[in-house]
Amino acid sequence: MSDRMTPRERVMAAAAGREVDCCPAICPTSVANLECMKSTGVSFSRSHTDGQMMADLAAAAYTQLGFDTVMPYFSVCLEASALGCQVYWGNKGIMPVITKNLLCSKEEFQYPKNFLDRPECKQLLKAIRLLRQRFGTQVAIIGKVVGPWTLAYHLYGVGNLVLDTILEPEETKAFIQALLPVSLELAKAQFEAGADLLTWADHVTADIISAEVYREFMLPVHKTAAARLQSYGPVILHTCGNVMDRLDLMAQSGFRIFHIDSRNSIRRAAEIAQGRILLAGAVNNPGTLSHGSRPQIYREVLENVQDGITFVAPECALPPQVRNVSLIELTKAAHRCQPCSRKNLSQD
Amino acid sequence: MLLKEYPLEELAKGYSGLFGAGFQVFDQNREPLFTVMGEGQEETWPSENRTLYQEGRVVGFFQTAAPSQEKLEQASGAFAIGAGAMLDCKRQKPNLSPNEDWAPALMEALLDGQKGKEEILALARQAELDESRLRATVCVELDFEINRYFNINLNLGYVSLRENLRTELLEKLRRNQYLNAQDFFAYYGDNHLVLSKSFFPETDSARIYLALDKICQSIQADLMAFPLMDAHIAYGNLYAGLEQVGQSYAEATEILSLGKIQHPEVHFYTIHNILIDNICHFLHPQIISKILLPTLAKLNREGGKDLESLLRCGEVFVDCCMDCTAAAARLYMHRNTLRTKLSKLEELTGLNFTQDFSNSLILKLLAVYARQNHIFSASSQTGGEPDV
Repeated sequence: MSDRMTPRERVMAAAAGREVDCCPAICPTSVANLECMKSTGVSFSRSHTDGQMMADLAAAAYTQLGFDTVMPYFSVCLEASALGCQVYWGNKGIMPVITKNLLCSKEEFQYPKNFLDRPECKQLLKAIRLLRQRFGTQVAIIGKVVGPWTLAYHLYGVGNLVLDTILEPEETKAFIQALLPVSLELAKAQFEAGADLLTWADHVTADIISAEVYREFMLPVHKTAAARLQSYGPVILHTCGNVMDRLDLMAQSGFRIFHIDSRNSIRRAAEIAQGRILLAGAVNNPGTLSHGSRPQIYREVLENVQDGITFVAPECALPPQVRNVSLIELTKAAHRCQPCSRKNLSQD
Repeated sequence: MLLKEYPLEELAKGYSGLFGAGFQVFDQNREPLFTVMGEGQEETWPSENRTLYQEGRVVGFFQTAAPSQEKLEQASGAFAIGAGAMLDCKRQKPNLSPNEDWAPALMEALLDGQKGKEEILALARQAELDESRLRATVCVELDFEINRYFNINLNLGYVSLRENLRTELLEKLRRNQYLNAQDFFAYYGDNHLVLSKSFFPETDSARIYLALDKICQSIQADLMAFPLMDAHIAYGNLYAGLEQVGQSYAEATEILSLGKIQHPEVHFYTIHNILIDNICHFLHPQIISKILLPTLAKLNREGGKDLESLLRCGEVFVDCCMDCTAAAARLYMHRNTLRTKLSKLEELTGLNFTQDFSNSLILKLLAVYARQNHIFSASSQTGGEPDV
């Protein structure tokens, strides 16, 4: 390929399984860091609920760090907040956390008809529209929703939810099913506002549930979500931590991309995925990006790509303390890499 | 990776600023690596030496000095945790598979009580276990059925089969739908398979125990696939963190041993189905010395040779809520015969158990105590139907 692709072309071509000029560097989860907060003049605690600030901080991923994408949703709490949970929005070094769950019982939940009109949703959609206005077709915009599993434990408490998979399995499935429209409606609205891709963050990790519980409770939900969003754009399933025992199931979900954590063997993950799902990630946050040298970052990016990563990215939401120089090294390293052999990857 | 390649000095400076403490760090050969002086540090400050671990190995040492004992403990503890996290997260990609090599070593360390707290924590961090979770220990006691042919021991493959079964059982447990990567299990001793089951904190503990019942039932169902293996299951109390895994295991084995006395045919014992047995096991010494033993002595003196059967009639009568018809049916005897035996028992013990609740409770405790302590012959040890 003679001409350099635009970042958006690169990302969308890779997502479609087409040839690309170099490896795309993407941010399916937050890459907001202290330096970018300072340079953009954005307060992190307000950057979660103010559309303009969300867009300004998200833009830095492209303008300052060199990512091929921008993504304006920096926490995992917007839907929960929109539904009534109490959230501490953090400060410049601390990510937001939910301080009070909303529900005492699963049966209390009712999907609000005006969900998309809640301020949290409106500001997120505003941020995506602002980013589309600013970057046109130059940069790929990633939207993000929290999936019904994560949303369920935000509303009801993770301990309660996990226990209920044991004690009240059918009611729990119904609860998760009832939450699906929240994620789906916000996902569709983000695509309509201008998102090119979407992160579906659902923390169905081995530290919380077994592969069998994933198969029984979540795989059908993920299949429905993937089918409903297929016509809108590629969806990136994000799950932190160790997922090796359920990756084969995730590959059956229909999601196009899986954002994988460095705790997993990427080579083994690529063998399991067999092109049914593309891999994004998996540069280690606490070690490599927080404390690693530039050569270490370069080496890890290279190894990831050789092992089967299609989209280079930090493995998960970045600790805000990670420095720009590390992230610039990550994006440069990705752009210096030729994509791995695509013989195993399916074509759209 | 060498200790000096980690930004430990930055960490020490941070904690020095926070606690006013001084730190000196040494490598594994006790060669000094760096010193961070405390604010206005004096030689008379209290000090403390601690060890730094990585993946369970000693990689260095550090000394903390602080202006007060309280500050010393805070600073030393904070640096130990911070350095531990740094040494763990900076290692090469862990790529840990759940419950592989580390689980037997960690389980042994927790149950033997031979290793110190810091060594156990180092092993737990290596395994990426969440120290904040609640944990209960499930003990599966395995009894391998080995057929013996006549009076000779032929090698018929049972021994090798037993090893295969042990391996298969681990695989089966690994696939159990209720277990996650924070749970770990290993064989301990010859016939105990021990599981440390984790739960998120701030969860209703009553519901956790209900969930544990269901988890143990599912393990019991998994064991049905192994007809040559008989198993008994019980779990101990729920505790915060890893340190009490051994205590919970001791409780589980205690429940197993109590349950097997009363209900050897049952496979899964809970506090619920051995409630009276458990109460009896922990009876106040005065209740034993002042009430149970004198009554048993009286029975022994005057009861003749049919003592055990007499006591059993009384126990079943109490178990049946003092319903003579139901008790007689359960004992396969005529009501009048039972009434005669109960009258005799009342006369011998002096317990008016047909009319008075506390006396009927004493009679029940008496029967269970006698069984647990093998007061009578071991010929008919089993009690009534278990409440499962």
